[in-house]
Amino acid sequence: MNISKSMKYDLFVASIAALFLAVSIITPTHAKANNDAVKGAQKWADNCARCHNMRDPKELSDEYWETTVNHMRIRAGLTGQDARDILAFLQASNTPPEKEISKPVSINQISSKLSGEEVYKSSCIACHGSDGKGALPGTPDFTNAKGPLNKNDEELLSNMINGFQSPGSPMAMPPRGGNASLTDADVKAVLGYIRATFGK
Amino acid sequence: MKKAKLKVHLMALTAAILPVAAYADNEDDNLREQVDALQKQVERLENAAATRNTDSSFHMAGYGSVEYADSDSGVGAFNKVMVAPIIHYTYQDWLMFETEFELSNTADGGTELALEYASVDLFLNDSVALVAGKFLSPIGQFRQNLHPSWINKAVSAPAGFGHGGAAPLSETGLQLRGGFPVGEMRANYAFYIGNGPTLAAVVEQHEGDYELAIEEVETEGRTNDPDGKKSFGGRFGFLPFSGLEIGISAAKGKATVTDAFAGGHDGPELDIESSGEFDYDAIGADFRYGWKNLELRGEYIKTEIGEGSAGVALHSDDLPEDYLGPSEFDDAEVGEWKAWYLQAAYKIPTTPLEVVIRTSELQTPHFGENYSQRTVGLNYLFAPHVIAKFNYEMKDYDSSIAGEQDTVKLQLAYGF
Repeated sequence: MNISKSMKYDLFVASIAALFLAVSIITPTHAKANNDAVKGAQKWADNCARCHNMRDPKELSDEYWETTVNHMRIRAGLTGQDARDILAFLQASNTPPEKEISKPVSINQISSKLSGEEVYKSSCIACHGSDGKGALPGTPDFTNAKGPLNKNDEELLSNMINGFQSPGSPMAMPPRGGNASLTDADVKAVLGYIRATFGK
Repeated sequence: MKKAKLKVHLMALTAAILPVAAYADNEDDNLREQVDALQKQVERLENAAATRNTDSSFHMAGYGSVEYADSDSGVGAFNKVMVAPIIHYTYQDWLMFETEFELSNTADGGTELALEYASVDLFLNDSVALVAGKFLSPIGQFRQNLHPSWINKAVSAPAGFGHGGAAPLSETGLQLRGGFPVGEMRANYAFYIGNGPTLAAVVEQHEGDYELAIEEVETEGRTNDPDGKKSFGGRFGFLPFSGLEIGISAAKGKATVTDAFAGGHDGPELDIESSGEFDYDAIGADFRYGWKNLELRGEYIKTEIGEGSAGVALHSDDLPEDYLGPSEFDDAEVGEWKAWYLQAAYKIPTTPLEVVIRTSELQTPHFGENYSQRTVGLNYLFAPHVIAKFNYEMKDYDSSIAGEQDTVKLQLAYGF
C-alpha cells in the first residue's frame, strides 16, 4: 500500500499525540502527596527566578496564589508536586506573624530528639544555605557579624517559632521554617547549631 | 490618738492596694487587646470563608508599561502606552482558563486590541497538562516566558523576537506540556499541534522581471488553516542543577501564501487566490544560567521556508495600473530567517539597581531588513514587579539607507 508523504506526516503527528494522551490517561491523576513548604521555598527560588524577579509572597492572597501558581505551573513546566510545594511555601509566608498574640517562648525546654544539625539540614538549608550565608535573595547572612545572630536567644527563638520577615527581604520565614512538625525543643537545638557553626 | 493611727493604717493600706489594682488593670487591658485581636482574626477568616466559592476562583493579573524613545533620526516622544490584563479562572484543581489581552495606543491616538492567548488548561496529572485554544508558541523562551514588559530586562525585544521576526509568536491548537523529575534533576516539555503559520509575499520587479518573494512568515495563531495541514512542534527543557536550564525546540509543517503586496509590505495589498504550499521548519536552542546576582541568557531561532509551489493567482482588478507582470506565480523566492541574542543582567548587591547588556541579530532573505541591535541598560527596581528602565539601544542595518540608529529609551513597567 502506498502511503503519501503528507499522510505519513499526519500519522506521525497522530501517533505522538496518542502516545501522550495514553500516558496521561493511564497515570493516576493528582497524586495527593503532602505539600512541603520547606521544599517549596527552594523550588520557588529555583523556578521563579528562571524568568522574573521573585515577588513578595504577601502581594497576593492565599486564594490568588493558588491560581497564580497554576499559571506558573503551565509556564515553567513544573510538576504538580512542585507547584503544590511552592504554593504551601507562599501561603505559609503569606501569613504575617501576629506579634501581639505570639506565643511567649521559653528557652528552658526539654531536649530535642533530633540534633541541631539534623534539623538544619532537613528544614533550614534550603533557604539559609549550607554555609549559612543565605541561598535565596533576601535571606539574612548568619556569618555577618552584624547579622541576625546579634539578637538574643529569646528573640531568635520567638522569630523562628512564630515566623519572621527581615527588613527589606521579599520573603518571610514561615513559622518553624514551614515545618510544623518541629517542636520548640527542635527549634532550640537548631539555634544552638546555627550559633556554633556560623556565629562569629 | 487612736483615730490618727487608724488614718495612717488606712493610708498605708490604700497605698499598698493601688499598684496592685493598677497592675490588674494593665493585665485586663492586655487580655482585652489579645481577645480583640483574636476576634478580628476570626471575623476576617469567617468573611473569607463566606465569600469564597471553594470550587471556583477568579483572578486578574497582567502587566502594563509606558515608554519614551528619542532616536538620533527622529523626535523624542512618549511612543507607547500599553496594558495587558490577564484573566485566570480555575475550577477545583484540574481546570484553568487563562487569557491575555493587549491594549495599546497607536500613533494617531487610536487604540489597538489584540488577543495574545486564550486557552483552557486541563491538569491531567502531575506531569501532563492539556492546553487547548490559542497559546504562546513554545518554540524558544522569549515569546512564551520573557516578553512581558515587567519581565523583559530591556525595553525592546531582541532583534528577530518580535512581530515579523524569526521567532514564532503563537499557535492555535492543542498542546501537551508539563515537567518531570530526572533523579535529582528536572526536565520540562511542550508539544503542540496547530493550524500553523501562513506566508506574506511581495510582487516586485527585479532586473525587468516580476517575481514573487516570501517576505514574512506570519506566526500569529489563527483560526483557519488554508493548506489544510497541521503544523506540530515543541520544546524540551533540561535543568541539570539549580540555576541552569537548557532548551531545544523544533517545529514542522506546511505554509501557504495568504497575503501579497505590490512592491513591498508597505505597498498596496493584492487580492489573491492561493493553492500552493511550502515546507515550514523551525529550530531553536536556548539557555539560562543564574548565579547569585548574575543572570546570563541566550537564544537562537531559525525559521526556514523550503521546497514547494506558490500557486498564487492575482486578481487583475487589484493590480497597479503600471503592472505588466504575470497574473499567476508558480514559484516564489524562499529563504531562512535567523535570530539570536545573548544577554547578561547583574543586580548590584544592596541596591535597587540592575545593569543589563544585550546583543542580538536578525538575518532575513531580504537586503535592508537585516540588523544587529545592541543594548546597554540600567534598571531601577522600585519593587520586584515595578521597574524603571533606562536603555541606550544601537541598531545597525545592512542597508546604507536605514544605516545606523541610536535611541535612548525609557520605560516604566509593572506587573500586577
